[in-house]
Amino acid sequence: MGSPDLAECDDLALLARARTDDRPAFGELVRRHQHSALRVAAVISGSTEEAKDIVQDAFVNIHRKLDSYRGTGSVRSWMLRVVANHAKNHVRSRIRRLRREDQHAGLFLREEDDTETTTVQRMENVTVAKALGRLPLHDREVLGCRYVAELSEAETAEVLAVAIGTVKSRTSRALAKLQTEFERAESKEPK
Amino acid sequence: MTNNLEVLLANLGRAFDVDDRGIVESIGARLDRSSSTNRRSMRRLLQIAAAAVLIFALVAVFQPDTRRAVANWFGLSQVRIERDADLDLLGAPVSFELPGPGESEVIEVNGRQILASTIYGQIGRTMQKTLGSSTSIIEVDVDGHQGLWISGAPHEVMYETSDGQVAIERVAGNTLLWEVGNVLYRLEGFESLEDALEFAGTRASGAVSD
Repeated sequence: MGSPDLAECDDLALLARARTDDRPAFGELVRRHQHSALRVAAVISGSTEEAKDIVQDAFVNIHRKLDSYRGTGSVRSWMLRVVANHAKNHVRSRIRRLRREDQHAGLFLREEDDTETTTVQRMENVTVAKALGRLPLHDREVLGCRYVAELSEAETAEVLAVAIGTVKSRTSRALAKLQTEFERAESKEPK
Repeated sequence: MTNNLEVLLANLGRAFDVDDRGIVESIGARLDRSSSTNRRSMRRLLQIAAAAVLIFALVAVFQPDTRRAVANWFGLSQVRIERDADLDLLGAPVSFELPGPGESEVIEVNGRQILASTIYGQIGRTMQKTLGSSTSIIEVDVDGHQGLWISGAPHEVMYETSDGQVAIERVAGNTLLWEVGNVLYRLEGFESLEDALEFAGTRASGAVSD
C-alpha cells in the first residue's frame, strides 16, 4: 500500500512529484495502474508471463521520460500507451515467428474452485483466449483495451492514439471477427 | 451475442493469472541500478544490442539474391534496404531541403526539427536506403502497422520516379518509416525510437485512421 499522503494525490500531482525524483510518488503511480497495464500487455503479447517484463520495461522507460508528458490526455492513458507500444514492439521483435494461436497459449488463467459454474467459465475463457489469439494485433489491442483492461472508449482512443470514432469502428469489426473465431473454436471443443 | 462476447472478454481479463506482486519494488531496483550506471556504459549496451540485430541484417543483405527477401522480412514493400560497408557520409543533414516526393512538412517537436512526410508511391519503386556499417535498422510496430527504425550513423536516401530514374539523393539522420497500403509515412529527426513512436502514434490518429 502507498502512504496515506500519496494516496490522496491525483495522478497529475504524483507525476509532478515524480518529476522531482520523488521515487515513492512514482511508485504510487505504478501501483495504481499496474493492473490495467498488465492486462493490456498480456492481451497484446499473448503471454501473462511476459506481460510482467513488458510492464516493468515500460514503466522504467516512462520514468526516464516523465518530462515528455504533454498533458493532452490523462496520465493513466499516457502511461498505458507506452505499455501498449512496448507490448506491440515485443510481439514484433521477439515472438513474431510463432503462430498467434501459439502465442495465446501463454495466457494463463487463475485456478478457481472446481465448481460446475467455474469450470464452464474456465472453458469459455480458454475458448475466448484462443479466438482472441487468432485475431490480428490491430484487433487484439482494441478489444484488449476496451474489454479485458476495461478502459473507456475515450481512454482506449488515447492509449492507441486514434480518434474515438476509430475505436468504435475497430471495436465493431474486431467483435465481428472474434464472433467468427469464437464459434469456430467452440465447434472444435469437446462437448 | 456481441454483448455476450463483451462479457466473456471482461471475464477473461479478470481471470488472467498475472502476478502483480513486487512490480513496484523491481522497477525501483532497476531505477536505482540505472542511475548508478553512467550514460556511457548504457549507450555501449544499446550499441551491443543494435549490433546483434545488425549482424543478422548484414549477413542477409550482403548476398544480392536475398536483398528483396530482407526488404520483405522488414515488411515494407516500398523501401529497398541495402548495405554498403564502405559508405562514408559526411554527417547528418543540416537542413531538410529536397525532402523527397509526396507531402512534407518540417515541424518542431521538443526543440527538434522533424521532417514529416507522406509519400504516395508504386510498390517496390519508391525509395532506396543505403546504410553503412554504423547504421542500425530494426523492425518496429507503428500503430498496428509494420515499420522500420533506422538510427545511428547517417544513411543515404535515393528516391525514384515512376519510370525508375533517380530523382533525389540525400543524406538522412534517424528515421522512422511505416507503410499503410500504398502510402509510406516517414519521420526524420527524432533522437530516440520512443519519441518517434509516440509522435507517430499521435499523428496516426489523423493520418492513418481507418
